[in-house]
Amino acid sequence: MNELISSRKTVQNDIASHLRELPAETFHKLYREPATCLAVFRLLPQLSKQLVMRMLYLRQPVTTDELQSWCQPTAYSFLENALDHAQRLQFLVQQGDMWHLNTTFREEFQNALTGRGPATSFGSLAEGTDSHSVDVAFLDNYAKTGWESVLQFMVGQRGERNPHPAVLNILEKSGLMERTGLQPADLVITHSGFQFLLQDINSQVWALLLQYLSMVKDLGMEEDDVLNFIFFLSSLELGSAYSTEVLTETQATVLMDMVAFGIVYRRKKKSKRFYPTRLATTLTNGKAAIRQTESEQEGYILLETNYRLYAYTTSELQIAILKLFVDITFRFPTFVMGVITRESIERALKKNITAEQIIQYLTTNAHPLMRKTSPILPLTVVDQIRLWEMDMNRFTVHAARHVWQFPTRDEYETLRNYAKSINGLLACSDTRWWLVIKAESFQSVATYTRRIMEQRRARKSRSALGAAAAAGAAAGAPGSTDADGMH
Amino acid sequence: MAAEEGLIKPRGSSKAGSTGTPSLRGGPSVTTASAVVGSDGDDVSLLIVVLDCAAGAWVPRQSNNHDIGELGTVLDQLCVFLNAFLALNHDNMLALIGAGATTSDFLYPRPAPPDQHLARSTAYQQFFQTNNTLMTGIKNLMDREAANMGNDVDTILHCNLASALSKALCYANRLTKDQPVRTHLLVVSASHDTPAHYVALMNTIFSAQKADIPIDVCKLYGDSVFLQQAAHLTGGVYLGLDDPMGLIQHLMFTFLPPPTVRKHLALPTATRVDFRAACFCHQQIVSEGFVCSVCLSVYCKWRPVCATCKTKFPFPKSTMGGGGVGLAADGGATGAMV
Repeated sequence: MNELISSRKTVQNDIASHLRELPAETFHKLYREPATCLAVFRLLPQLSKQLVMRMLYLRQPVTTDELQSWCQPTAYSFLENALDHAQRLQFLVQQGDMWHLNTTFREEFQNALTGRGPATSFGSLAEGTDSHSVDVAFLDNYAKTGWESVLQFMVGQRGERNPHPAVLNILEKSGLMERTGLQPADLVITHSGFQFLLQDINSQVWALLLQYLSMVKDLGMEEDDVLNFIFFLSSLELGSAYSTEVLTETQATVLMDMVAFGIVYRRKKKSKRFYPTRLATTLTNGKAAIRQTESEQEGYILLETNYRLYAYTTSELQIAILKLFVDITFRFPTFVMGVITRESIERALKKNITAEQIIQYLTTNAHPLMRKTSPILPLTVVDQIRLWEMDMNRFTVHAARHVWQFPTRDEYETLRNYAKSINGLLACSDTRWWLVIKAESFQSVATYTRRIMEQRRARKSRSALGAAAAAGAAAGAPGSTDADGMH
Repeated sequence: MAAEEGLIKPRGSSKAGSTGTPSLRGGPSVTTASAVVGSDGDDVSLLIVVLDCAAGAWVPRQSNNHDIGELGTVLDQLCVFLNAFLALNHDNMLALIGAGATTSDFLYPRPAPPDQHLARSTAYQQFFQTNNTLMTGIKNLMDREAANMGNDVDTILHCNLASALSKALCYANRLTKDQPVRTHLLVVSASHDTPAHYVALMNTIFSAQKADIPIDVCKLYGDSVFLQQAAHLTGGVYLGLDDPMGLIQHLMFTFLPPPTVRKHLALPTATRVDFRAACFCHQQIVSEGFVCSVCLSVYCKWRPVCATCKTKFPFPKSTMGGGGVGLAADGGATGAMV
């Protein structure tokens, strides 16, 4: 079972969920930069954005009642969700019944909107003309070939030049590749690496950046400085040259690594100007990155209702990706043919690739002929892939505690009802009087038990409850033990 | 109501008057469905702002004791609002159209002059460029107006909203043809109604209704009958303000949410809408008038032949006393103004 639990781990590629884990003080530092304010603000759900905007120029705090009056009565659940998001990213601060905007954020965001921030908050354009100036097409090509060479390296297609050592280091640290020897060529792709391949470019870039963030402490840099710099890069204008002279030491170091990733273009290591590529400028705008970067590249996959798949491609990378979830039967110079089978999908699922990722990949890479139909992919195939996944996921794993040997029915029921009321009950038996309680709820159930017992002891001075599971019992033994709930 | 819906009849199909409303009811749901295909996060919207550029309407009012012109106050706040809109989503699109007394012009997007590419580094590029283009655009438009009109430019209190609105709708139509983008229009106006533009304006309003584009109206200094109807018919919000000082708060609260979020928000609703129409013969706003029973044209006086559809009306038997009785045509159907 432990194996099952660990296999659920996926590559972290969502900046919003990463930010939610950060402590409040970090946000205080982050929101000192208008560029970061803007970028993080864009990560919010729509309704949260509206709430923040409404409060931006309000001088007094707002009560919960007032917030509710801003919304339709039918939208209260949306409101709660919106408030929760805004609160977790430290935009809104709740004090009792009052809500107010984070003061640092308010100030800097107002600066961003009115353009009154510190002189370099959105970059300092390089002065004079560049004798080696580059255009947007060049930058796109630079970013694309750079990124594809990384992906090709991952699937084992080694070109004449390996990716930058910094990139290789990150690929290895993030568990996308495993080292079998000392040479760069000794890196092999892992399960999560395959999963990584199916994601869109934006998620891939974030996955590497987040890994990079987790490593910067070892390099002697502060995470919030680096994060600020990444958000800063994302707010720059594509096709403009920016000056490196105003950058701090940390920023200059990070910039070198960003050049290695292809996020930033710099002609020479000592060049005084840098150009952000599309990988940088689309970091914080959701799905637009894929559409823009792949617009010149037409889709290549045809999928039929009989589960046959035809892919017009010569790219080894694309074929390698297809092989993850398709049984390739024929291969011709310009196209490959394969079948999607239960086995091929299960093989992919075992590598932690989700059905949604497969469907997403097929949809984004569908051939123009397929795009004319609606829905793009045949429904039978899509449904079947989802069903196969559900077959695999009949088990969910919860850490839990087993509580048994209740002396009286009354006590059993009191505890059962309490556990149910806090949504902590996984399973119970009314005939044999045992409960399975979620591990995270166990503490509160135990406290409750103790309180009830004391009350009764006070009343009857007679102890009643038997074994309400002392913590730390050995696994496998009966009593309070880690159990796997099945649902 | 009948009179207004009928106005598109002379130009549109003959069925528009009667079937217009029900078919429109079905419209929004279809469009919404296709627009919300993506997740909540990547909801891109297009905002078109029509700004009243009639110089006379913006002359500083007596009530205000600060030096800055009213237009300056409004523009400063409008710029922040536009930036806020662009800040909502990286892909949000924006268009600005200035409506002068005689002409209307795109203020943004416009190809930026080459020398403008020197950006001020404290501002986000997109914000900076929008605001810059807007400011120069307005200045150009007003200079041109002044050149056309001579010295009495300050006395002009009317603006050509119909022309600006039709430009906005054409632009929206072009942009949204092949991408699912929800559009909303915002009219910021300070000038009076122009009854001469009544028919043209109503036609644009009905086109907006048909295209499911809400028209929001922010009307400064006094109410506008036509714009009230525009907001009401298209499902937009009408807001009348007397003082532009707190404009930004109103803009942020009421006009910023894109149509997809509005269903969750409590927005101001018009308690009373002035449904009066302007007559076709003298372009005056009338409370009671005569309505052609064939094409629903509105007249303030009885006439023997409908100027729009050339229907001949029989002479009334009694003398024409009070208004409110419609012209009888052929069959003798009657209609009354609301």
